[in-house]
Amino acid sequence: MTRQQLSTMSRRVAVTVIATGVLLAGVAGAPRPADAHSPNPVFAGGLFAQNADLRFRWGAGGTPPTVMQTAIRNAAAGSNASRKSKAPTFTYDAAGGNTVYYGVDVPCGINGLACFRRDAPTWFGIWIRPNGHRYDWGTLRWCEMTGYPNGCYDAENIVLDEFGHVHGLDHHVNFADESDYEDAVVQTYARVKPRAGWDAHLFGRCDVATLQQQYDVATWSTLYSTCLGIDTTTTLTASDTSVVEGTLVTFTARLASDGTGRLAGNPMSGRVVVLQVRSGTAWADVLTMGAGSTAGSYVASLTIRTSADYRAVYRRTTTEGTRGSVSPVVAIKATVACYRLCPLSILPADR
Amino acid sequence: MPKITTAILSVLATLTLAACSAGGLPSPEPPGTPTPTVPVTSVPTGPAASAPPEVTPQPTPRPTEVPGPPVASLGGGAAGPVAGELGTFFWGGLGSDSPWIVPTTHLAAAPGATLTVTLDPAGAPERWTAAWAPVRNGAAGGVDAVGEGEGSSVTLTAPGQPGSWGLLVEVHFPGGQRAAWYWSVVVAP
Repeated sequence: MTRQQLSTMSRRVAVTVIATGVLLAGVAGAPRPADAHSPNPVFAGGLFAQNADLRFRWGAGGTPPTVMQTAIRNAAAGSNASRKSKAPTFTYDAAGGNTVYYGVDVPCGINGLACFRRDAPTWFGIWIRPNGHRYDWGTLRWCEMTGYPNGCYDAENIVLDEFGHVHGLDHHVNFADESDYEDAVVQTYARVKPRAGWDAHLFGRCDVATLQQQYDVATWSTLYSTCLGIDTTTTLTASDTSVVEGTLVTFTARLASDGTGRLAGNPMSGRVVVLQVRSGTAWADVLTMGAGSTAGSYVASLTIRTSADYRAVYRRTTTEGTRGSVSPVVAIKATVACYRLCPLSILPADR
Repeated sequence: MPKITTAILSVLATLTLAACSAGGLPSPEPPGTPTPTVPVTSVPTGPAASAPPEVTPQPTPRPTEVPGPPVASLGGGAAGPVAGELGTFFWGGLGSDSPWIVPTTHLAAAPGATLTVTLDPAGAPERWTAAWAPVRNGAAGGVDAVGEGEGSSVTLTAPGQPGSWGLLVEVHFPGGQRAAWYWSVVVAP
């Protein structure tokens, strides 16, 4: 969101936001660009351990109805399935050390649907208001308990939001028109059926982006969230750079993330890395390199006929939030093979 | 005259209700908080913000009152200030999630009127965001605009287009604490 877009948006509905007091109206009236369409912010207070196995039980006197138990377990499963990182997993366990409570006696403030506390890395609690609770502005209807009428709230979605908070996710900062609302489940306000996003049961890409930043990707082949824009580094080596024509040369490329924190220097496996050869002033694809023996490595073998420059290319794809990269050039010098008497000019001593 | 009296009483009632409700948040104690030893026969009360299972039974911690978000009021309309409905907040280690609330009590304002949000206690807000959304059939529709700023109080301009509007103001305080409030604003010439 640019300053200009925000300004335009403000004019459209005659909204002028001005801070008073110390700040003059003219100064604060210019909205600051928001961090829209970026990974969710993070709560202060630390994280749980990577891949922590967080078990929860029903709170004393607050066992949910069966249908809500299912929704809560499904939310836990949805978190586990969509975290795409080493964020903790959630599992129901009657002997678990964390609690999920459903009932009247909740500390969620006057209008909360659900709330949480987290004391990372040791404990969390989640509280859920009961179906039928009467607010000043209406009656709470959980979709799962009322047959999914319009105006209901999807408990699985709301509890997934709470699990996201337990991970450490703060609310996503949306574009001014909220066109990116569905990029995150962890939102400032929950949407009611049938508004878009009301029944999201998996973390959105900007939830995942923060989980990856904070906990690291799940495996070296896990794709980086498209809510990110991670630089990458590609390198290339050859088994020999000066060979007789007809020699088989093995090229090894290494691809790594070049982000910050957890996302710095991670090997990246399972991607498409292409070996290219210089052709005049351009580069031509030779072949797609196969998986190497170590994480983030890619190999290809070529029978060298002539001297040429080679490089490895990792191209940006739309399915991953990484930027492409190109390795430095590796020059391979090929000399003519001798089948009878070699001319003196190519004797090893003259090389 | 009776209508005015009713309106005033309504506003006062809303303010009182909000003040009571937002003044304190029950705060269950997480495990690790020293708890007195209790007989095995004690009956737990309060919410289930309980400790992990222990060999020695412990009571489910009782809620304790901690200061909650301030009361926010919107003024500048035809009538007196109207208390906002507290929505999503993160305060004192407790995070609560709410929907976009469309309060039943509304503030009447002229198109383009200057509206001011005041907080009690005022605290020391670091920054804030605001969003307007048209209200149709009692529900807020898509957000039409947002703004944000910094400072100790918030002044907004009511939409120029007559109709029912929902207003969300989220204020960020030091220490990562923040709260959102909602109002209904009826804009009429």
